[in-house]
Amino acid sequence: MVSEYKNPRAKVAIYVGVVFFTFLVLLPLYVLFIIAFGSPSQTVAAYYPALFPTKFTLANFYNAFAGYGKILEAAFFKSLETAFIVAAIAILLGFHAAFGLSKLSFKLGSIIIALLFFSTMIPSITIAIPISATFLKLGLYDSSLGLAFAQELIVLPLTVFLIMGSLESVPKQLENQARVDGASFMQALYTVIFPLAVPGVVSAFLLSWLMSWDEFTFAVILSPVHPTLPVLIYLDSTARGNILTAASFSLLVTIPVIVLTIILSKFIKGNYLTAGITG
Amino acid sequence: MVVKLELRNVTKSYGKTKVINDLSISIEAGEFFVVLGPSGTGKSTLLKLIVGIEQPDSGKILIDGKDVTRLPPNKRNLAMVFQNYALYPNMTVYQNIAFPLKMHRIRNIPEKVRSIADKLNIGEILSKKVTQISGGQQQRVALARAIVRNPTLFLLDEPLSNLDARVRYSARGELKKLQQDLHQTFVFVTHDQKEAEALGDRVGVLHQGTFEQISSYNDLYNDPKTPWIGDFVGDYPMNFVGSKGFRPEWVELGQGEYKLEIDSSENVGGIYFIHGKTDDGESLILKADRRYKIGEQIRFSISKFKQFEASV
Repeated sequence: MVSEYKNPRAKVAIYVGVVFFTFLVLLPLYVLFIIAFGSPSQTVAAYYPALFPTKFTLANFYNAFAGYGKILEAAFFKSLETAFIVAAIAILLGFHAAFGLSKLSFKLGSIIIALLFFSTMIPSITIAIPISATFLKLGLYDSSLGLAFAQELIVLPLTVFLIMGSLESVPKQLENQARVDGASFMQALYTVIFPLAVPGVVSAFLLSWLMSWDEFTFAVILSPVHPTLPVLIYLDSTARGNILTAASFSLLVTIPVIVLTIILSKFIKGNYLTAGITG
Repeated sequence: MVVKLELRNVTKSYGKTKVINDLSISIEAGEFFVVLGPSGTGKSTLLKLIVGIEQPDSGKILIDGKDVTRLPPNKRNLAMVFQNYALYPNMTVYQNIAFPLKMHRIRNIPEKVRSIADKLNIGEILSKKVTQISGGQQQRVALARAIVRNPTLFLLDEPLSNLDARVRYSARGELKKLQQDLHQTFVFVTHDQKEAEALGDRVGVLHQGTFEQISSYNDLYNDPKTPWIGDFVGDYPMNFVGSKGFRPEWVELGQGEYKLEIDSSENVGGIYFIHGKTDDGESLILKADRRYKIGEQIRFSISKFKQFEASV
C-alpha cells in the first residue's frame, strides 16, 4: 500500500478524490446559500432552478426572522454562550485530566477512560430529568451555565480521549528537560507540554463546541423557557414547512460553525511535534 | 580538592531488577568524569538519579556538600544534555537557549543568549526553528542551553552518539576544550571507549549497577582490576591464559612457551591482529607485523601480563 504513494499517478488519484469529496460536502452548503439568498423566482419557485442564480435578495431572511425579533436573538446568543462555556470547561478539565491519565500505567489509564465513557452509555433523557430537579433547587434551571454542565457529561469523555492522544505524541523527555532547566511542575506543564498539545486541545474545543451547539435533549428539558437555537427552530420553523424559512434558519446555525472552524483550523496541524526529537 | 558530587550507597530498582546497586562515588570540582559501560547497565538511570528525574530507593546524593536526594530537578541547579537533545520543538533556537534563564528569572537574557551563541558558533541561526537546523547545530543548541545559566554541574547523556562520524570527532574536541574553558564539572555517559579515552580525566566503568573500576583510561587498559574490565576495555578484549591476562601487544612472536594456530589475520591501519587458538582451545588475539596464513602455527611468549586471582 505504501508504495502507491510513490507513484505520481496515485498522487493524481488522491487529488481527484479530494476534489470529489470536497465537492460532495460543499454542494449542499452551496445549495443552502443560493436558496437562502437567491430570489425565490430563480430557486424554489422555478421549474428548473438555476445553479447560478443572478438575482439576490435578503427578503427570505427578513421574512423568516420577522416576528421573532428578540426571541431569536436571545436563542442565538444563549446557544453561543452555552457552547463557549461547554468548550471552555471541556478543555480546562479535559487537558488536566488527560495529562493525569497519561501519567498512569496504560492499563489503569484505559480502565479509567472506559469508566468515563460509561456515563455516555446512559440515555441523556434518563439523566436529564433528575438533573432538572436538582437544578431547580440550585437555581441553575433554564440557565446557560446549568445547561453547559449537563452537556459536559457527553462532551468530557471525548475531550479527555482526544487530548490524551495529543499528549502521547509529546516526548516524555521534554518534560524532564524542562524540569532540569528550572521549570516547576506547573511551569513545565504550561510552558512546554501545553503548547505541544495545542492541536489536540483545539480539536477538543471545536468538537465540544459543535456538540453543544446543536445538542437537543438536555436543552429541551433543562432550558425550555428561554430555549437555545436548536430548540427554537424545532418549536417554530419545522412546523411551518417553508423551505425558504428553513434555509434561513439552517444558515443561521451553520455560519458560526464555519467561521469557528476556519479560525481554529490553523492550530490543528500536529506534524511538527516530534521533529526536534528525531536522532 | 573540593568534592562536587557525591553518591552514597545509592540503590535503584525497577520491579525486581536492580539497576543501580549500592553505588558510591565522589567526583571532584572541575573534573571530567566519564561513565563508561555497555548498554543496559544503568548509565542513563544513574544520570536520572543525579538530576532528580528518578528517586533512589535508598542512599544519598550530595551536590556541593548539600543533600539533594529529595529535591526536584528544578531545585538542584544542574544542567543536562540528553542523547536526543530534547530541544523544545515549538520554540526557536533563541527561545530554547533563553528558556532556563526565563525559568530562573535571570536578567539580561538577550545579552547572555547572544554571547553563548557566539561562543558556540550558532549566532547566525538564533531565529531559526530547532526543527530546521542540522544535527550538529542541534547538539550545540542543547549545549548552549545547558551552559547559559552557569549551573553547578553538567550531566551529558551520550550527547555525541547521534552525530555522524566526522562531526563527532570535532564535537568531541570542542567539548573537552569547552569544559576546560569553563572550569566546570562534567559527568559524561557513553558506551564509546574512544570518547572515554579522549575526554575523561577519570573513567568509571559501570557493570551490574555499580562501578567495577574507577581510574584513568590508561589504567583501565593496562591495569584492569577484574577480568571483566580487561575483557570490556580496549578495541580487542584482553587475552587470558589460565589466570594471566595480557593485551594483544604484550607478546613476542617467533619463539616461546606458547603455541597459536592461526584462524584469521586482520589489518588495522598497517598493524596486523591475528586471531587463533592455543592447544588448550583458548581463543587469543595477538598483534603482529605481517599477515599469517590460516592454519599456520607460531610460537610466542608473554612479555607482560596481569595476574588475576582466579582463572576465567
